[in-house]
Amino acid sequence: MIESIKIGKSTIEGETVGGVTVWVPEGRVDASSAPDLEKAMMDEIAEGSEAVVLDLGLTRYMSSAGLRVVLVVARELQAREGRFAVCSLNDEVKELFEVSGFSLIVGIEPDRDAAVAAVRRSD
Amino acid sequence: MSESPHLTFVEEILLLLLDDETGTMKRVAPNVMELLVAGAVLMDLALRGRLDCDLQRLVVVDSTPVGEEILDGPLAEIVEAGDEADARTWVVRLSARSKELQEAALARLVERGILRVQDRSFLWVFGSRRYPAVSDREEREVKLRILDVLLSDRIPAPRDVALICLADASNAFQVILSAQELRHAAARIELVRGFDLIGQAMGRAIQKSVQDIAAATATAHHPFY
Repeated sequence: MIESIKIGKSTIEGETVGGVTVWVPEGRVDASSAPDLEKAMMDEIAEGSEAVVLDLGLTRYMSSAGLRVVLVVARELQAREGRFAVCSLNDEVKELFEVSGFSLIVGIEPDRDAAVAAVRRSD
Repeated sequence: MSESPHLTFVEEILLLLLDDETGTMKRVAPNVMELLVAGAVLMDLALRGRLDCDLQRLVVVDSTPVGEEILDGPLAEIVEAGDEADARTWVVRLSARSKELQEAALARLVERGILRVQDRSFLWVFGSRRYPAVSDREEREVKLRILDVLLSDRIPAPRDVALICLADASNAFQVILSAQELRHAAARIELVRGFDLIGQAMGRAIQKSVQDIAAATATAHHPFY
């Protein structure tokens, strides 16, 4: 279990489910929380976490700073031949992913179970 | 003092547009250049944690000066405005400062020892001055970063996304890519330039400006009687 991170009124929970690291940022993923989310996720990847899910089920809002975290994490995992998916996007966040083209480079799953299954290695 | 060793995007795009032989800039329509410089400044400020945006608005999240004249003037203007206009509105607003920002960026490149000034009377760009490159290392690095992103399937870093938005908007790809490479990379350019919301806003502002000028030109050629 990864310790949860408090940022102001927001919390970012992280946990490992069957070899998959799942991150659950709560509230807003914007310039105020994105640097901490990025650091937490990148630190775990540096420690060897290669199957990662970003569960946005508790995320009400995401800005371009939040999108950059997704880009940086996806880039790092691609370089390490890891796997990455996001899930449980609300309509506003989903629109952001579609407008920016992120939906073409990152797997988007409807819920956490589907995302964990998508990134879990079959071997 | 600047907090970052990176060149600003305005400096990077000027290097991309610099003709190595003549030291002059590739001709870009003045209205496009103005919007391009404004977009470059906004993308820089966002990547340095001063601005954030979504599809509706651009906001200041940290008003601390960066230590680069090219960026701190525009940042102060956005802070002072205190509104939450969208990114495209700010691209248009800041385009009014484009000439001053380009001059500052060229001066900075000279100060950094990347360019040197050589006065000439006949060159059209930036008054009568031309700027031969002292070292082309920075210019080559910029081009290599772009080629690496465009000619591979690797997910780009945020700085490279911004640079690709700028290079695309300035038609710099026509200079640094062969016609065949450009055809090969077209879909990739289209994809990558969408990753940055400010880059998208800049692209829309440029598109509208070009359309407005085309419409005005057409009207001028077909007056009503």
